[in-house]
Amino acid sequence: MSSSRGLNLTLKIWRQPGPNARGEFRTYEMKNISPDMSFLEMLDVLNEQLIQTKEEPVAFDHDCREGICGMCSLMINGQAHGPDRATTTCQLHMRRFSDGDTIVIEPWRASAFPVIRDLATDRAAFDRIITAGGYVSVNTGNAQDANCLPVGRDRQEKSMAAAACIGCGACVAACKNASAMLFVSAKVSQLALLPQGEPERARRVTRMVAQMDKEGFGGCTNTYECEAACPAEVSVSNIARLNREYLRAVVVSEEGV
Amino acid sequence: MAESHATTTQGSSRLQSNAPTGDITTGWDRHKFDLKLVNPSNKRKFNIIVVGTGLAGASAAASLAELGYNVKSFCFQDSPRRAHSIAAQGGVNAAKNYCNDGDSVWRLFYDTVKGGDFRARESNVYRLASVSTNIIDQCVAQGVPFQRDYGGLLANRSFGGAQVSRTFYARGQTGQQLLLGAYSALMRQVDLGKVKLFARREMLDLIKVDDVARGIVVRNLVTGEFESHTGDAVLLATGGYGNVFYLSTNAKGCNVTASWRCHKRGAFFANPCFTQIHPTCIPVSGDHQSKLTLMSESLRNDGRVWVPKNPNDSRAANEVPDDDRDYFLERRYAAFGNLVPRDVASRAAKKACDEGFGVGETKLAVYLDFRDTIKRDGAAVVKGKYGNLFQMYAKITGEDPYSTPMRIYPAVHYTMGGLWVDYNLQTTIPGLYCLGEANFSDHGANRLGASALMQGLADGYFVIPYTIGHHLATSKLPKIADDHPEVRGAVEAAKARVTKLLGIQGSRSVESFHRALGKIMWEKCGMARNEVGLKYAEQEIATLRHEFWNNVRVMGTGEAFNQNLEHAGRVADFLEFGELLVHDALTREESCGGHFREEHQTEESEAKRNDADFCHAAAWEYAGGHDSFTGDKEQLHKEPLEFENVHLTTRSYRE
Amino acid sequence: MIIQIKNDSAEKETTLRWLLNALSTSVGRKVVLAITGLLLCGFLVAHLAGNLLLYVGDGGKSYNEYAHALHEQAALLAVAEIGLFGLLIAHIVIALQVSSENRAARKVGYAVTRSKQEGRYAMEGYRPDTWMLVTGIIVLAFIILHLMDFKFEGRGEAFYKNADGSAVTPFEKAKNLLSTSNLITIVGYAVGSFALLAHLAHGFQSAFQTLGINHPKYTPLIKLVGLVFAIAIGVGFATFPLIWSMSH
Repeated sequence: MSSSRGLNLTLKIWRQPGPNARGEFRTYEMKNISPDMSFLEMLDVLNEQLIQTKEEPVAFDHDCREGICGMCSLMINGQAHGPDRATTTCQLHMRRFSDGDTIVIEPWRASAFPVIRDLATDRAAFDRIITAGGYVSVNTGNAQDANCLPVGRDRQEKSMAAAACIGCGACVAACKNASAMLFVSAKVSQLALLPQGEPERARRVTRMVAQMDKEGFGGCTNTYECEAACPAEVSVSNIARLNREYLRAVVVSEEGV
Repeated sequence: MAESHATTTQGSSRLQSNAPTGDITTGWDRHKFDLKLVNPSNKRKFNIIVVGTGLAGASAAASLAELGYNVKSFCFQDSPRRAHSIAAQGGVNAAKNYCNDGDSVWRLFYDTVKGGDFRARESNVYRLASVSTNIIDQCVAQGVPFQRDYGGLLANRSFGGAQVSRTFYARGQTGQQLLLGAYSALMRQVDLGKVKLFARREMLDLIKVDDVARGIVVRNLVTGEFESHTGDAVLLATGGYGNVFYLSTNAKGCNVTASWRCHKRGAFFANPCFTQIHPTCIPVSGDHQSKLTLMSESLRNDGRVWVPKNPNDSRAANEVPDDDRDYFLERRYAAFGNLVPRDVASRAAKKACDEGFGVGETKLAVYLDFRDTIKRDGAAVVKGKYGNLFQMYAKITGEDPYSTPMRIYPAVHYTMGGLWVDYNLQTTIPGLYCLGEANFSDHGANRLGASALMQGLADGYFVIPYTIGHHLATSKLPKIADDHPEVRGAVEAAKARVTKLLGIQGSRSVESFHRALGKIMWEKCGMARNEVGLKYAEQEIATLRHEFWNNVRVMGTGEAFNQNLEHAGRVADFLEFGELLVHDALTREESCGGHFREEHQTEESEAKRNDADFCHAAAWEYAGGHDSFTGDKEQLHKEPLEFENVHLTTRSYRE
Repeated sequence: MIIQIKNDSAEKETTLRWLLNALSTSVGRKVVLAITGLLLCGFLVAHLAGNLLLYVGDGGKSYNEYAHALHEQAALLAVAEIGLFGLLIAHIVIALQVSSENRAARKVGYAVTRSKQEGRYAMEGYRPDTWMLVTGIIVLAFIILHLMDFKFEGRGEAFYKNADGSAVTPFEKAKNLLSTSNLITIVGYAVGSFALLAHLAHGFQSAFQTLGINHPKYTPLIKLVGLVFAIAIGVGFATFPLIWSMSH
């Protein structure tokens, strides 16, 4: 079935053999691509072709291929995760493209996300930001009965909406300043909205912001491209909440004096 | 080939379950009391290696670090948060009885043993049910935003065939939220300096010194360097082996390598043939398919499964009137209807398709229809409940499930088998523990919905922290130098393997071998199995493996980020493991849970267990060489399973 | 003894160290940017209100009175000017600092960029939010020109004196500048005003977000007010060069 409506595409892919190597765009012609393929399956096909011609396959991060692990990335024609809203690259399907299209594929670009190889980048900066405070300090066994702390449904839903962040880094990739504010604010918000997060809220926001700065992400200029690029549809209202939490910590907290 | 496998040993002395005897309700408490403790100030002297950062691995690493142990945590992904537990959608079970509908620890225990078709260890299951309540408490305390009711208290839903509402959930992303909770606990310990994190590291071998697990060999996937890490205990929490079927709902990176390497170093592998096929997946769309996507089976709460009564019905689904539809689950299973357990629902769909009633272009799909629910509750209600799943379906298929019924087909989803462990989660190698999906212990031959998350977290938060102390307190564990012959030997063996893979320079890609293996597995050892097919599969796999080692083409070098090489190593192990899986399926001459042998079925085509001969866990010991694989060096040991509390009955979901 | 002294001085140092630390992070600096921006908005309102007296039609009487009243409060004016100058400098310095850091956050750029926001195509489109540095610099240039004209009388004595050598009234000064100077001044003042409009169109509502004020009930209103405010201020100031140059 696919042969009758297969797509012929030109791919321009960033190839870079290693973190410190020089990179360049290379052009590949793809023939008869089924519109039912996912974008990553199309790259699988390319890689199989490259192996046949003894060229090294294109490195790209991916794992769950169902939009939840946050490992896939890719700037596709200048858009993080491609043209669709609320979609990761692994969920993007080729029916979204037309026969004859040229597709430019680049890695996430941010000083804090150095390229490892080709399209794969190092996003450990996100882990280090979470390490700085993206948790509730509760040891296993400490917990009281789960229903002891009621959480209004509205708050829970807002918290969940922030917690939905998959940590893919599209917000950073899409932001003109390579800012990580949407990512950081998602975690700060999730916990700030819950009573469980209350005891550490000042320390959390202060430390996470400090770590974010240390990693070399840019600042937020409220352009909101992050929100449009976010596959988990995390709202920029969380950034305001982070700002609020931060100001509250500055004014109220006795820490760091 | 089957005949050449070594004969079996009934009730092997090598398999000491160490499970408490007597009253099952007090067993875990008594057992904990009997375990030796490690003095609090001594805990910091012990180093523990945890491989995998899914629910089991992350929760174990965090909990052990909280106790004071020094933990090294490893994962092959770029961050611990990516582990595939994250993809679990539906929920996590706990016997809280918040809904006042008659749930209890005993009922959860009972349901799990029965759901597992009486092939799980009772004592483990009871423990799992009893700590389930603590899991919810722990996760809520971490800030997991479970669904709430308007009063602010936790909401529950019924799930996966349970007749009580005991499933806690966070949208359709429960696994994600639980994993991020465990991940946050883990990262907190990283902050406190108790956990050292090693991401993008793949475990390639186990280091054993004096027959005790003392470390691992990993490859740094970014630089290609081999590293050895030694410690006082090794925990595997490396997930399931569903990708032996190539197409599964597992993440692309999921693999059996860590477990398999340990198996080849002496850990018994139990019940590999117990694989779960999930009924509600999006069907294959073509040869390019690289993975299958699951849709939560909560869909079956409101969706109705059907096929046209006429196999040649060419009408669009919506134009087929009710009289011409066969709601086969409702017809065959009056009591449970669309909510029968996964194995039953999957086989029923397969049967319908095998008989020619399948729908869609490939004819390998059945309809899951929300028409009646939308009519009854309105599209808004359906959207509120299942919106994200419908959206996912629409993204993948390009069809709108609000107006046309979804097409679904079963896919490999979860593997109940795994490394054999005793009640302490210790494998047959002292000092080597196995947690979560990677072990075999709690789900028997079939796992109930929303129980995988429960088990992973139970093992990590509430079992291993107690049981590991006993090993540390009672074993002599001298420090291992980095240049210890066993360390060097294991590193060299791992290096040699990589060198060998790179040196073959054949003409066939790793991917094509993986697909070929998957095809054999799915066709001959999938939802239904028979002797002829299994024997054929055994031979085919051996042949394919031989070709692999002579004709695979692995690109690039070992000294760099090389995903092709990573994949090659994993496929190499699947090519060995797959044969054991098939052989286990061949040896188990009965049908139970996810294992369906066509020779053993009732007149109504239901699974027919053989409790007289097969009421045991089949644990395979590998006695062959480490550098190669010969299937006939797999030797079977049996752990008899006794059912003192839940009496052996035939599962029936008909009335 | 020595140790004690050191401790004392260290203590003094920390009195406001927490505030400086807090305001020197990326979020803190944005807060300063927002607060200084909003305060400068306050100045704009007062300034525009004063200038609108030019339109009263009493031959400049009101305007002159206003100017004199303002200049009579020499002490207050000095304080206000220093304060305003401080705000402006803080706003500019931090903006430049933030901009350079933002640029450093992506050393290697993309070959292609395209917005995913609705109705927006290129990431650097026609919307004002990606042009803040540019509009800010234009406004700054305009302010310098404006101060040269009105405060430092930078176009030479002849321009600001009557034929008899007496100083012109403020009203006449304004009239002279706007009606008799060359096209560059007119265009400069107009461009400056519209750059200010663009700057405020994003800056006003953005400041609220930065200060943590985002609420489904009020944010749409803030955005609307921001837009109306930007247009009122920008168009308001632009009327002076445009109308006066046309009418004379």
